[in-house]
Amino acid sequence: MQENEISFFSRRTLLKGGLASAVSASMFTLPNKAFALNLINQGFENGVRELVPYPQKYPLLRITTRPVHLETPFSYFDQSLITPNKAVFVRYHHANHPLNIDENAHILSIKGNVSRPLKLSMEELKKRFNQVSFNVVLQCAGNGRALSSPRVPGAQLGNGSMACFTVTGVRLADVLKAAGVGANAKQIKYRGTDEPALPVTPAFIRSLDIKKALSDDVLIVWAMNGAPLPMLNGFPIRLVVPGYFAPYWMKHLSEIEVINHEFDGWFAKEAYMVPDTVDNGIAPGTETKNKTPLRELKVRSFITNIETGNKIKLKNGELTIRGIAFDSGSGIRTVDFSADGGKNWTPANLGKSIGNYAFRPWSITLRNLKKGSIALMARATANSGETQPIIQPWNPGGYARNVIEVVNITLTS
Amino acid sequence: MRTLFFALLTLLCTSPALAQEIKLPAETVMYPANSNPGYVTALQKCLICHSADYALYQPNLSKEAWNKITEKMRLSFKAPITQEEASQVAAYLFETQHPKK
Repeated sequence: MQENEISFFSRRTLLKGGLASAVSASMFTLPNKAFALNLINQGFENGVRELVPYPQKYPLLRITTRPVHLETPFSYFDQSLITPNKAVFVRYHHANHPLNIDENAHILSIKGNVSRPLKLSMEELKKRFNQVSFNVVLQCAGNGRALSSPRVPGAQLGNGSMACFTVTGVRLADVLKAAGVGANAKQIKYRGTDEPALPVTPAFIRSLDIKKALSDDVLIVWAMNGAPLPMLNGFPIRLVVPGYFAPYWMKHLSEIEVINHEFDGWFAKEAYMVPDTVDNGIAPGTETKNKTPLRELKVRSFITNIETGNKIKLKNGELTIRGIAFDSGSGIRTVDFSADGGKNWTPANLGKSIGNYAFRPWSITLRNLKKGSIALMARATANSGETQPIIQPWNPGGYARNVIEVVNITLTS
Repeated sequence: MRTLFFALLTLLCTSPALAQEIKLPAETVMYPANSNPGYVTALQKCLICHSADYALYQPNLSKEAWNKITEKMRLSFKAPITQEEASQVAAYLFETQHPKK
């Protein structure tokens, strides 16, 4: 392990583990077995998770073992604006996901309502079309689900199932145009090489409206941060739908079918649905009457250098807070900050933008602080005008959390 | 010279194709034993498709909520269990979360 990798995740993450005993940087040279002892308390009931090193990954929170589901410990987001590949979260739907792929043998088929069906090798894909590269946020639809009140069933995630990285690939539109999309095309229906454990279980097949599929920013990518996709993030290629939640970003992409109707498979019609209300919320505990597919990310912001429960010694009555914000692609207009539980708000300083689909850094220095407990809140507003709610609308899937998060800390002198 | 140039260019433009293989860490969480018949079904059937942490990491859920989940497994995901087995698994998981004192 390289020196810079050690410093990346050893700074705070492991030391704050609820049940973990003190861990020193020397731990990282020990065999994997030692990591099994590392536990982090996620801060919700039944929320103690193991920190486990997976192949091509730093130790991540194990949400489920089979299929693999791993969350990024939240303090990693304070280390760098771009999430290293080794820190990016992992989520599969079915247990038979590939663990062994030869890029030379992988084929992407484009079929259905097209005039020239294609079977593209990875070499052809890379050579035949123009390459594009930009920064994007990937976020799980259920990011923050375990913070739902009342709690809901499903993978119990804190807020670490998100990442921001540079993708490199080709435009899906260019590939579809090469295949020649038919006149009545309505959607693409697409899948990867992962399979359910039992053949009778619905496979993870998703769909995207043709207009979106032909838009400029939807990509088929083979690289994250300039390196091949890690196996658990979709090697050798995955679909990237900037501004849309992760279930659209198919891993191990192998087949795209252009269809003239709306796909009605289980993972298109039953999964990742939210109440069709203005804020996608309904009265807690009630049933959804009308549902709609969850697509676009909602605007969010996070404080990254301080966590609830921290005790901080004041220096000259000052405290610098930093964090990140993102939305579905209009870009961040402002981040406002409150140090009194939401009564008064002050604009934070926005850092340099690395793209409208990416994390936007921000910071603020609070002055004339006195010792005692304070509630810190950050509220992002996007260029679209969208802002974060003060109360989280409840939905039965625990999807698309974007409430103004509160960080409660104690200041000491 | 020209040939050499193009040979080099081809070499530079063609990143070597990759084969990746990974090995996953072992499962560590197991369904706790109790006398409920649902325990055996959980071991024999639920573990076909997913590890035990899928169920054991859930928040406290009502009997009805567990029933809804096991019925979803049976009907939507085609778990090879009868309705009776599904309800026994739901009862087992509820009892695991709320042990009788």
